[in-house]
Amino acid sequence: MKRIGEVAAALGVGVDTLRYYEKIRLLPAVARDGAGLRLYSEKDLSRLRFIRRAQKMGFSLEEISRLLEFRENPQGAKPQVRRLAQAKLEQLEASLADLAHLRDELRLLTSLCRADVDGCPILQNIEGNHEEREQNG
Amino acid sequence: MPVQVELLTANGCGACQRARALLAEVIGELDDPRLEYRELDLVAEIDYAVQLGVTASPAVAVDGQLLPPAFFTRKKLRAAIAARLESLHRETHR
Repeated sequence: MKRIGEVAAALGVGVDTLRYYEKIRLLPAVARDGAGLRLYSEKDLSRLRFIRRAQKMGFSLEEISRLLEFRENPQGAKPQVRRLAQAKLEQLEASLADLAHLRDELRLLTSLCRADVDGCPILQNIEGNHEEREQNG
Repeated sequence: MPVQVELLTANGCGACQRARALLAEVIGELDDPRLEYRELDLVAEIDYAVQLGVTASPAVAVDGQLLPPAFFTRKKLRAAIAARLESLHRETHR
């Protein structure tokens, strides 16, 4: 079980944000210790990580609330919740394809051979080939 | 039907010069009229390069198939291009 400060630090959010999630019922009532201080379970943390990831993807709090409902009970979800989850999945897959292309492009551009040998990992292979030719006569 | 050999290069890439010379020799040795050679600038054709799966320069593609960097020897380049010519020959004479 974790204290609110630890959870806030781990997720990179403010303690007020964590209290707000609970207030708007994105998170069920969090357990309390004898002094009334919040204690977050691993299940709470998992739910919070889901909320943060979904927010980073630009999902609204309303959408996240419905997706959390789906997450709790995927088999028994209402058709409109299931449709939302499907639509969000498609949106994520499109974003991933875009991200992968962007990553590959930047990876290629950063690995392009510079004029110096250090910038070019393929150089050795081609030089190796010259040796091969010399050996083959 | 032509077989397209593409060399993808970048500015200031010393290895690209050697790859160019190597490919010219291999293509000259194979001396096949079906071989079409073209050179592309990776930066100018970045979308195509990423689609091919290019991760570094230089890169060689035969009929849109990227050859792994390990293929950058005279023997292997020649074998890869000859194999493509041969498979095309089989396809057209079936």
